[in-house]
Order: sequence, then C-alpha cells, then structure tokens
Amino acid sequence: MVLKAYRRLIAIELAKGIALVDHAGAINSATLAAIEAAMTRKYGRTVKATARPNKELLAGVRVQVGDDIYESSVAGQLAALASSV
Amino acid sequence: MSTVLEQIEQQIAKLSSKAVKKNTGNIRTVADGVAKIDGLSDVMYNEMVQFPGGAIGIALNLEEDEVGCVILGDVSQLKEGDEVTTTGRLLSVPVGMELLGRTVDALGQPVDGKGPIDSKVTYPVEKIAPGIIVRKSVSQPLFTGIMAIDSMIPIGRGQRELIIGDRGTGKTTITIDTIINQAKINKVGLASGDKNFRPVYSIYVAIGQKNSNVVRTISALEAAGALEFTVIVAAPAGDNPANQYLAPYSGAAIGEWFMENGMDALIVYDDLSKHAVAYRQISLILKRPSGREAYPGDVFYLHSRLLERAARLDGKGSLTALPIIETLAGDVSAYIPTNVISITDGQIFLETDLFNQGIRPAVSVGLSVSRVGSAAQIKATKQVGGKLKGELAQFRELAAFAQFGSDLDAKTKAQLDRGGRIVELFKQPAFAPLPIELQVAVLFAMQKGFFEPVEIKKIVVAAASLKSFFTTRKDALLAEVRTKAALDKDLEAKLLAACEEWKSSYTA
Repeated sequence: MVLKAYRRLIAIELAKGIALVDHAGAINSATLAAIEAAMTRKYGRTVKATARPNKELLAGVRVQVGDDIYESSVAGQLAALASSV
Repeated sequence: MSTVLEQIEQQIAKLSSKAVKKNTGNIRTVADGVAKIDGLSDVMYNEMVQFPGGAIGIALNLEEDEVGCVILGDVSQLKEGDEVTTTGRLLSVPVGMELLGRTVDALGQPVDGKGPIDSKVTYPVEKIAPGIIVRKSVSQPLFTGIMAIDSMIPIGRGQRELIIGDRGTGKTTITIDTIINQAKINKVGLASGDKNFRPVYSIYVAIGQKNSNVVRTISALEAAGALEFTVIVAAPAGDNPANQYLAPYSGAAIGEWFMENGMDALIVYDDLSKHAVAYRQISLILKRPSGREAYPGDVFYLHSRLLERAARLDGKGSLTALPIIETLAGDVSAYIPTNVISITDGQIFLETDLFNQGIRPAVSVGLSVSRVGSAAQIKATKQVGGKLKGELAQFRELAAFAQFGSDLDAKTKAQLDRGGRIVELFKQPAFAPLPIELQVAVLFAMQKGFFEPVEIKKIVVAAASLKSFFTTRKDALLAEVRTKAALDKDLEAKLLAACEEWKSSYTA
C-alpha cells in the first residue's frame, strides 16, 4: 500500500521531467530539441522530449509535461469548435 | 440554419493556430457524485473543471496530491482514468431581467421548456458579501400582505427574516403570499406611473423539495399573476446534492444583479435545513471532518456567507432574504435553527398547535421578532397596530390562566374578548395577501371598537364584509391611505365615517 503510493508519487514527479510529444505526421529531431529547450527553460528543470505518433490528432502536435498540456493539433481545435458552437 | 452557419463561421474565424495550455488530471475514483482526481496542479478553489461528456465539476478539496470535485451533471458516463481539465473560470449563472418568469436549475439553465434564456450577463455563484461601507440601514418597508406580520413583525427591504416552524405549518405559504403581494404592489405601482416607485422582483429557491411541490408553487404564482416578476431556481429532491448545495448561491447571484443595478429584490430560500443536509452529504463523501450532528465544521459559514449577501446598498438597490428552516417537534434550539436564528435579523415562528386550532397563518407572536423592521414600518400601521403585539402577548398569558378557573372579573374578561377578536381578525386564507391600506382600515376599525358588538366566532365574516366594503365602495379613501402612509386628523375622520357607514349596513 505504502509502496504503491510512493510509486505513484515518484511517477508524478518523473512526469514533470518528460515532455510527451504526440504528433500526427513526421516530426524531426530539430523540432524535438526545440521543444526540449523551451520546456527546460519554462519549468526550470531538465525536460527530455519523447515523440509518440498519434493519428487521432489529424495534424499538429500536443506536448504534455506533467499535468500541463500544450495543444496545437487539428483534433484539439475541432474539439474546441464543437464545444463553443 | 443560416444563423448556425454564421455561428460556426464566427467560431472558425476566432480559431488560432497558437498552442493552448491546459492543466489536466485523471479521475482516480468517482463515487456518489464526487470525483477524486490526480493532477490538476493549477486548479483554484471553487474553480469549474471540465469532465468528458460535458459534465462540469467544482474543485472543493485541494489536497496535497489529489483534488476532490463535486460533479454537476451526469456521472454515469465517467470512469477511472478519464481526463479532467481546468477551465480557469468560477461557476457563474446568467442574470438579468430575461430570467423573470422563468424556472432555472442551480446552474441557471432553463428547465421550464420555454426555450433558451437570452441573457447577456453572468454573475459568479460565490461572491463575497457587501462590506460595511457600502451598506445602508433598513428603512423601507417590504409588505408581506399578511396582517399579523406587517403589523407586528414588519420586514424592511434588505432585511433577513427567518421563517421557522415544523412541517406543515404554512412556512412556504407565507413566502408565496409575500411574493404574490410584491407582484400586486408592482402592478399597482407601475400602472400609477409614479417615477419614485421601486418594484420588488422575487426569486424563489426550492432546495430538496418534491417536484410536485415546486410545480404547485409555480402554479400558485402563475394563477396570481406573480410569475412575471419571479425567478424560480429549482434543485428538487431528485437533483444531486451538489446542485442542491449550489442552488441558494445561484439564487443569491440572480438577486444580486437586481440589487447592484439599483432595483429591489426578494429572495426565498426554501429551505435551508435541506441545504445543510445536502452540504453534510457532500462533506462526508469528501471525507471532511464532521462535527455536531455530523455536520462539517463550516456549516455556520455555509449559511452566514449566503445570508450576508442580502443587504441594502447605499445608492443602489436591496436584496431581502426570507430563509426557511424546518424544525422537528418545535425544537428551535437544534443546531441549524440556532445558527440561522443568530445570522438573521429576526424570525417568524409558526406553531403546529395554532395551525391545528385553525389560527392561520400560525404565527407565534411571543417567539417571533423583527429586529430592524420597525424602522421600516409606515406610520399608519404604527398608529393603528403599535400596541397589538403587547396586547396579544397579554391575552396569551391571561388565556393560559383563565383555563384554570371560570370566575373572571369584568376587566380580565374584556381583555380576553379583545384578544380573541384580534386573533380572529388576523386569520387569513392562503394566497390572499392584503394591501397595506386595507390592513390599516381593518386595524383602525378594530382599534375604534367596531368589532366589539360582533361575536368572536363571526369576526372572520365581519372582517371580510368590512374588507369588501372598503375595496368596492371606498377605493379613493384606500388610495389616500396608501399615498399618505400616515393617518392625520382628516384621514382618521374619513376612516371613522366609512366604518360607521359599514356598521350601519352590516348585519351579523
């Protein structure tokens, strides 16, 4: 029980150092490096970017660092459009 | 169709390719309308959060590694692991004149099938009550149309007057009468073209009531032509506790709009006992520490922050609150009743015994009090009804003693007779509020002894006859009483003459 809780807390902490980059279509290493640099600067800690292909996004990228999500995908825009109309 | 297309085009035009930041979390557990969420590290207290499927929640517990949210809406589609997003907004409800005549839920969404509400303004549901500087003391009357209340326990605009009593003692009826009376006064006032006339708009908040009761209330208001001046906020017993908890605050926000915009409003919370129970349920599920009667520690603040929002603002309008509390076996010293009694500016206590004896409204004169209302009472009512409370209290005391013996001196017997007559005179059917000028005329007739020759049993009939005499034949005199609001010698002489005229024509 205690170990389980400890593991969960560690996972939360580790997630703050990883930028999960969901992308539809190809993404080059320069973009990943740029994302890494930007996130490292923003959060004041080393953030490593990991690419993850996701066709559901249709186009664009979505970056997740810990609880924060930076949405710049067509799927995200369509969802925003659907909720506002 | 074209408007839908236009809307979509407008929204598309607003879209930008810039990255949008969201703060998210995942549902860890969901049970009894409450979700525990991992993440949401940026969430604020009382912030709205978005669940998948359109349901929204409110963050009530911000803990070290999880957030407790109450869910407003359908919880059946939610499951563990679902993504939840912060919105950066506090819960708000639509406000404005567009809501008049409508029935809305705790979120301000219409539930009356009359179409969408075209309101441009929203107010936050939770708001800090007006401070000391902006307030003004209560000095304008708010007539309930109930003679026993307007003459002995007067209510002023901006006051908080508690209505307390056991189940089935007529608490709701008093508030509906008051709402109907406001509508009647509004109609007369607006038709008169008086520029200084200030209408009173009403908000009725139904918390944890049966749907059939809510329907009955709406029908009564509709039948009396009062719905057009009223907003109904309904969180019936079938609604989840979160909606029942929020409904009074939503109602207060709707009322505040009237107050802030220089108008007067009346809000009825029916009832705060059920509100406290709904909050207790939420608190227990959120695992907050429980105190007396399992209520959480902040149950006093729950009601004090709500009732403090009723005020009279300097240079603006007012919000008068009539909260209702249901007691068990007449116990006013229970936890929630004592809390609300101490917050309000007085209470109207309704007794089961009086109700069963046919004394309706069953107002207990001894236990009822209005702490600030007398400053708002019009002079005419003070002139004719100033001593009534004392007389009735004396009558009750004497009546209790008179039960033990039949040998009473003439003075005591006269006092008992007079008390009995006043009690009969105050009987009033439901949904039939009396205009203040008519109350003044009836009390004037009583003070001048016009009811003395009438048998106590026949007082109700005699009073009805006097009322119909005045309304049908002395309309101009009533209008004069209404506009002057005080009895000078000339007006007294006219009233006396009218009463004599009635006496000569009335046969018991």
